[in-house]
Amino acid sequence: MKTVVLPRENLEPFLGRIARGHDLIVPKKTGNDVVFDYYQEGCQIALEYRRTLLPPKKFFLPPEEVLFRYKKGQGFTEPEPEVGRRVFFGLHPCDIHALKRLDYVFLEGYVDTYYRRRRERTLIIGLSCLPDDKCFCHSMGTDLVSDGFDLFFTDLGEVYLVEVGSTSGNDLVLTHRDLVSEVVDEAILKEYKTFISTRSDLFVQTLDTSGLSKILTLEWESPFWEKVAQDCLACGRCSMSCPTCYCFSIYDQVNLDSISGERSRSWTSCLYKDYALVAGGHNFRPSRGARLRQRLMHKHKDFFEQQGVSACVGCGRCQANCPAGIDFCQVLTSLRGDISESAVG
Amino acid sequence: MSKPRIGIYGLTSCAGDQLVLLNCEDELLDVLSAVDLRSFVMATSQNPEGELDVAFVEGAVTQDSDLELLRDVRTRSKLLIAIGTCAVWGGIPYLSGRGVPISQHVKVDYSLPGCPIEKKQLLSALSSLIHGDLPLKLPYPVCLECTIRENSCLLQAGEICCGPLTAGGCGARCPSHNRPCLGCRGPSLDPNYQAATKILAKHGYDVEDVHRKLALFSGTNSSKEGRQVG
Ligand code: SF4
Ligand code: SF4
Ligand code: SF4
Repeated sequence: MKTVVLPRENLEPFLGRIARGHDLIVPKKTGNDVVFDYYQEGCQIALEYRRTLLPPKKFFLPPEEVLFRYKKGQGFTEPEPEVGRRVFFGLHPCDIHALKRLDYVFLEGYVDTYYRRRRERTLIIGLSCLPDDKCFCHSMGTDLVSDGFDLFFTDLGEVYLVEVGSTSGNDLVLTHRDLVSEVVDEAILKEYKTFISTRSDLFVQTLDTSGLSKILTLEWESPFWEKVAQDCLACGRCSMSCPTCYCFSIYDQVNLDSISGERSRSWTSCLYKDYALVAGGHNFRPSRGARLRQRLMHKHKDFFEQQGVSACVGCGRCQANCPAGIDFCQVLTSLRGDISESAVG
Repeated sequence: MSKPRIGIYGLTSCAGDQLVLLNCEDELLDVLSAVDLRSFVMATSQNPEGELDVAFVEGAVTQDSDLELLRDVRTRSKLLIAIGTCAVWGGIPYLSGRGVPISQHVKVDYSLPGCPIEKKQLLSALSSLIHGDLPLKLPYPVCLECTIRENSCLLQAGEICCGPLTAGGCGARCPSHNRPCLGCRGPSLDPNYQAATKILAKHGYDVEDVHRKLALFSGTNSSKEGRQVG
């Protein structure tokens, strides 16, 4: 893979130039928080952030969108698709893996054109990170990336090591070749190795994933779920902030004239009581425990069985944002504990 | 399709929900031309009354005259819609110990909570009803819209935020201004009072205080669940 070097002081000019020809999305400082947002001149880009509250998915599957508008006798029309190239800078490895998980859902088999249009017009520039006590990507195999990006920047202090992941990424580098150097010398190589090993030593949170999908299957009926769910507010904050929670509800709203209206979709959560409610009033997951179980089953079992990888990329957002302080790694660890007890006893 | 016959009524309340309709300036003409308005005492003195397709009722039942009006409207109307948290849950009048939600006395076909109700939801509900459908229900708590706005969480920061217990649809107006949710839209579909109380107790609040706060707008629901937990 082609690798180049971008001196630190050239990053701002590099992004500034990209912003002239593209809609540039960056991790932006707002007060104490960092959010992904469109770049504006003079905005503060967060180069060393831990995690955003909302993940990149909001730019591909917006929280709310109109799918089409209809009018009697005139058929239906989709909203004008957004146009122009976007460059999304600053995704950490977990978030790039998460996009790949979403691609599986929205681009394979049944293609979601709304998602595809946004995905196709967006180049991805990854950015290296250091974990905090909530990150467990190293347990999920998502702490590094080898594809799914156009460029990937590793912060080595004085310079960024830039991996080129696609021809579009290469074009970006070539267009701004005056800002980068093609020479990756011994010193830089050493810095890179040091960075990689220092980073992997920093992880605190871990999740033992061995046999997890099977353990979940075996523990389906466990009273454990209701117990954990006693603390759950069913607020949905974990789902909204998860980079791979993609559930949405679809609804029609007629206008006052009764002959026109629109169909929309918006984010929802399997933690909400009506989520598995069907016509006739039957609810497949009437209890909060069944709903909490569903969230973990889908991540670590169903998705895993379909794709060979868990849908969880270990970003730590769900536990960092849960008002009830529910730590999903801890939940899964206690579940494993229960099994060994019953096996011994 | 003939226009639906509609009546709008107020029991014990501040009339704030009826005002939301009057404040729909851009849409009011469209609404009025799509319905056959049979009663709206707050807006007009010409109220032919009679049989109705849909009655909207604001306010809690606190006195005999409320009950009389409510029963009369119910017998005349095919559908009865409770508008505003007082009508839906008892709201503020419930705190006096005399106010009860209208569902304690008559069948309610659909509820539109809020203090006051949201204009957007009122217009959506009206559009659906005019078309002959029951309006959509919003099944999520305030936290959904709050999280989508990327607000940092006040409950996590140790404030008494009623967002997770409260019906969404307000766009998380208060938390978006860094003020904890007071719960003015009444209970969500699935409020977990026990969990909320536990979190706040951990933050060092007195359980009684928490219950008083959580009960402010949730009327009958809070007495069933919220006050029981201590
Ligand atoms: S389940 Fe939690 S840790 Fe895993 S990807 Fe989703 S938000 Fe991140
Ligand atoms: S964020 Fe926590 S309290 Fe809210 S739904 Fe998720 S697990 Fe439950
Ligand atoms: S601030 Fe309040 S409404 Fe917002 S997510 Fe936290 S608990 Fe929910």
